[in-house]
Amino acid sequence: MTPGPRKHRRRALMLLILTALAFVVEAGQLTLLGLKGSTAVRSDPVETITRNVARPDIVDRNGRLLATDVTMPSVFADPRRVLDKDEVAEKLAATLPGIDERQLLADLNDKNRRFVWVKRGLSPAEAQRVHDLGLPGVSFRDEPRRVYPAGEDGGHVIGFVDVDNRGATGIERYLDAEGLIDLIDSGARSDRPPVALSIDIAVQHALRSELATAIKDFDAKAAAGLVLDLTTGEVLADASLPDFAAGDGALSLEPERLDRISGGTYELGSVFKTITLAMAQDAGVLQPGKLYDTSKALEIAGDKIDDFHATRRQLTAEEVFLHSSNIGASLMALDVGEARMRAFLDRIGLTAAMTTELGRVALPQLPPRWGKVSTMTVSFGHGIAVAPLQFAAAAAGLVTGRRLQPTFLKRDPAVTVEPGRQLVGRKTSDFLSLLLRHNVTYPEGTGKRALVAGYDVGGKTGTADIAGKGGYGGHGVLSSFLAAWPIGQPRYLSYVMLWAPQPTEADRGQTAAGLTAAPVMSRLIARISPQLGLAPVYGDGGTQ
Amino acid sequence: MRQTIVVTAVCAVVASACALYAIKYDTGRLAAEVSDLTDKVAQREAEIAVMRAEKANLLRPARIDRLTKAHLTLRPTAPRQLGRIADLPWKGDAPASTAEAPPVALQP
Repeated sequence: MTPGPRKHRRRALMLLILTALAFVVEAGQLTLLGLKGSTAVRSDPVETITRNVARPDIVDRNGRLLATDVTMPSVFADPRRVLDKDEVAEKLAATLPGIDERQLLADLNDKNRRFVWVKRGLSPAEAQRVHDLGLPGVSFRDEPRRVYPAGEDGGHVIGFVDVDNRGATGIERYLDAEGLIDLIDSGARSDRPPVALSIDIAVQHALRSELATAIKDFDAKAAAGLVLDLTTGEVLADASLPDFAAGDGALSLEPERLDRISGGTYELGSVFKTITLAMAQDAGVLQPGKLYDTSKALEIAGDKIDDFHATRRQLTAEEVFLHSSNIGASLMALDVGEARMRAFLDRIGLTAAMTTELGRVALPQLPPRWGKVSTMTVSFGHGIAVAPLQFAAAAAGLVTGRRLQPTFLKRDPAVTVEPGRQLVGRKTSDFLSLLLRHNVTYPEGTGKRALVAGYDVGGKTGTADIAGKGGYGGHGVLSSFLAAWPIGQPRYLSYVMLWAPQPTEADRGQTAAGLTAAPVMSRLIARISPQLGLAPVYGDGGTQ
Repeated sequence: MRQTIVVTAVCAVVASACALYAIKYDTGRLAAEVSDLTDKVAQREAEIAVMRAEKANLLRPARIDRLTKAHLTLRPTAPRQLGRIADLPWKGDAPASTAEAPPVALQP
């Protein structure tokens, strides 16, 4: 054998092995590609410029939708790719309502910008019209936009978002603060569970429509009200008229559309005697048989304290409450004394800042210098101004005996609510409940018109002169009514207020709260109790 | 003999390469289908969101209230329309005189 063929054969073998290896490598590469797909880098210039915010849905306590994200196209322009800037600005302004053509043209001529929003949150029809213009350099981008299907009910509580879908007020701001929102790159929806409010939208609507009726009936300037669940502290309804629909940020800026329930403080008037009587009972100054002389007005340091419904006789503690005697309440407060009174107001949470999910409640305005005069005026609700929500929470604490923290989020019924700190003894809360009930059922009570057959309502009126330029007088009154029911075992508390109700024919020229706010409360309780699943009890089932 | 093996091996390599290509293209096609379906799912979800919002808007209490007042005689449930089974006047509980009272004539 010659070495030639052997050498050839070895070469051929090596070639074969190399070829086979190459195939193996190629097969491996193909497998990898098949498994992993393309590794090419994709880029989207828009992504780095702006990101969207996806928000969870907001639902009411029964799961009814109050706020949700829907995907809407937004139109933007890349100035460098726009050929004829004048034409683009003109055509877009002609197609889309609400566009400032000059501003858009200025934006497009800005050499430093590669991204200009033209309009955000277009309707499908608008998007189609812009698309049909066929303008180069003008593109669309899907963005989540917030919509509020509940309409006009619950605007103050729900709040609104800004143009970037970030919460600005109300629960919407709370979602941002609690980190319940997600930054996303497209119009994707949030996959977080919906946030359930304590609000029952049906009760909310009932409250709002009763308040709207009251404004019309009494030609009042404004009205507000809330309903609290006394077991959990949940706010079932919270309305303040005039208001704005959720999401309507522009309207919310008008000062008269302020949330009067937690955003404003008011001198509430006689309804404050609820607190005075509970305080006097708690301090032990109400000896049985003790009488308060209301035969003449009290004069102190040039100020005169007199009664609205003057009786000019000796009154028992209960009569002081039923006749809503300012003189009697003042004498009671003097018996308690300034120091104990201030301590009591501190204890029931009327003097410190209060915070809810909606933010800080308007700070209580206390007398700048306490003294004999302020001790007396505070006893009938003057010289102290508190937010209605804070007052209602304090009153709720006195009726149940335990501190109540109002919340706008639904409490999980499976989790037992820790009862709040004890505020006053059983004796005091029972005494107060009885007073409230008698004020509605007794012929001399001021709250007779709040009576609702089947529900044992207890309540107190409040009629306060509204302070304005040049002091009191001429600014109308603030009529309010505080109610708890069923009073034997109070489950709900409500507080409604009417600003400057005008005398009507039917009311024989009177504007006292007993004739304005009390009937509103009566209608409200009769309307919402069945909604809340509260069965009426007649006859012996109730108290007195 | 050896030649047969070599030819077979080469054929096998070529065949497996072809199969791999086929699988790769298939994968690509499926991937496109997946992304297409994902897009459709997102689109449907967006449509569902719009419809849920629409439904909630149509069912909002304020609207129902307005429509009811305009077209129906229905009103919110009044407390007197509610009662408990236990409060019903049972035959056994009632005194004999009322139980045997003659039936009240119905209004025509």
